[in-house]
Formats: sequence, structure tokens, C-alpha cells
Amino acid sequence: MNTQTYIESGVLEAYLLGVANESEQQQVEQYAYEFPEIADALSQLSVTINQHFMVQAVPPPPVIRDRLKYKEETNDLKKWEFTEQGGHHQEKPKEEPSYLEVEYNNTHIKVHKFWRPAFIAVFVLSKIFLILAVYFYFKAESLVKENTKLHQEIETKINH
Amino acid sequence: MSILEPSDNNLLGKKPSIYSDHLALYDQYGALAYGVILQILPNEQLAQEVLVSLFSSVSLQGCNENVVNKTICIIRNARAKAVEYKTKYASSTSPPINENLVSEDAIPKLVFDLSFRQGLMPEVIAEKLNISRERVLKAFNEYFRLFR
Repeated sequence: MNTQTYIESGVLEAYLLGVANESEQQQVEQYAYEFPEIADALSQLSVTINQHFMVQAVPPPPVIRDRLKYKEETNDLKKWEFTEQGGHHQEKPKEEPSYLEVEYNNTHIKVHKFWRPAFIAVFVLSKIFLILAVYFYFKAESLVKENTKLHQEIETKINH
Repeated sequence: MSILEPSDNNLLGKKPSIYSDHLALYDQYGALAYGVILQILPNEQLAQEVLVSLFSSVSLQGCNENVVNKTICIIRNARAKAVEYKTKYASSTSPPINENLVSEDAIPKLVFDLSFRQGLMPEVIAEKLNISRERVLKAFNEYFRLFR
């Protein structure tokens, strides 16, 4: 095999970038094992690719590290399932929610879902008590007036 | 199994225990991964989500043991994660290409862009540009030869 032609075919670059197909990946690994020239080319190429991407590195905002640290502290690393298929153990991500958690440093708090019916019950009860309070207030007022009226009638009858 | 992929032995039946490895990896390669992700997802907010997701996943654990190709491993994982998010959440419609207007000199950069940044398979790029798959792979070689 002409190793130079193989090195210049672009398969090594595709392999390192992760865009080569399964058979090409196996072939590159096999050839790298068999031919030292290909192993050297692969090594040199990985340095070139590293340098290429290092130049384009962008420091992420500090809040990202805080989020990762928070995840680490709460043991919130994604759990993975392992299934055996064809002798290989493959990792499978569990179903992710369809939403994106975008904010981290916000002013909102999360409470248990049972707080919702509790809050609704308290709200409804407060309205009932308010209505009863108004009802009894006016009822008491009318009774006071009636009482005064009866007092006056009795006094009038006694005077006569 | 690829020599760049995480080895199965460390993951088999074992939950991740050394979470600080992820932070150490992040401190060393966070900027590199963020740069890769931003190339694929220019939306900063989404890129940051991908970055957090990347450094929270157990799939990076194998990169820790891959001393020679640790950087390549991070680049591949960052790209894979970003392309996955791009397909899921971002509008991934690439602009139509008139293959007749693409000059021979522009092919390496265009192929790298379509493959690495847009997440297209070499077969799809070959079809789009009306060139052979071998030419697409050759374009990768030409692209990186410019940086040597």
C-alpha cells in the first residue's frame, strides 16, 4: 500500500474530526497499528488540529463554571444507561425534557407542587370568611337598629 | 471501538464518582470546547447550554484517560454535542450552494464548514457539491495543509 497516498487522502483528518464512517475508522486504526508512517502522520495531524482549534478558543463566562460546580455538588451529572449490544456496551442518554433550562441566577424559587392546591384552598377559604364577615357585620348592624327601634316603641308604650 | 472514544471498562456498571475530573477538564479545555461549539452554534446562550451539557456528561470521562489525544477527544465530543443541539433546537437549514459557482480553491474551506460546522455527512456534501466522496475527504487534507 502507498502510505503517502493514504495519508494525503484526507481520511486521517476525517477520522480525527469524527466525520469518518465506521469502516474508515477501523481502517485508520488498523493502518496506524501496521504502518509507523501513518501513526506518525496521525500524531502530527492531531497536533495541527489541536493548534487550529486552540487559536479559535473562546473563554466561556465564569457563570458556566459555577453551574458545573453546582451540578457537581448536587450530583446532578446525567445518569446513563448501559445496554449490551453485539458484545459492546453502549451508553444511552435517558430521555431529556423537551425544554431548555436557560436561566440559573434568577429571582424565582421552586416549591413543591402540593403548594398549589394548598394556596388555592387558603385563597378560597379567605374569600368565604370575608363574605361571612361582611354578612354578619350587616346582620349585626340591622339587629342593633331593630333593637333600638323596639326600645323606642317600648318606651313610648310605657310613657302612654 | 475507536481509540479516541471513551473506553468501556471504566464506565461498565459504574456510576461516575470523581466529578471533580469534569471541572478539571473544564478548566483545561473549556475555552477550546466553547470555541468549537460557537463555530457550530453562534447563539451564545445555546452554546453555553451545550457547554454545560458537555462537561456534565459521562462520555467525557474517557477523554481523561486518553492522554495523547485528549484535545482531539474534547473537540470530537464538543462537535458531536453541538451538532446534536443544532439538529434539535436551532434552524439548521444551510444556504443552497450552486456547485457551478464553487471554485476549486474554495472547496476545502467549504467542505470543512459543511462537515464540521453544519454537521453534514461527507456523502451529503459530495452530492451537494456534485463531487466524489474521495474529493470531499481530500478537501479535509487540503484544508489542514494550509495550517501546517
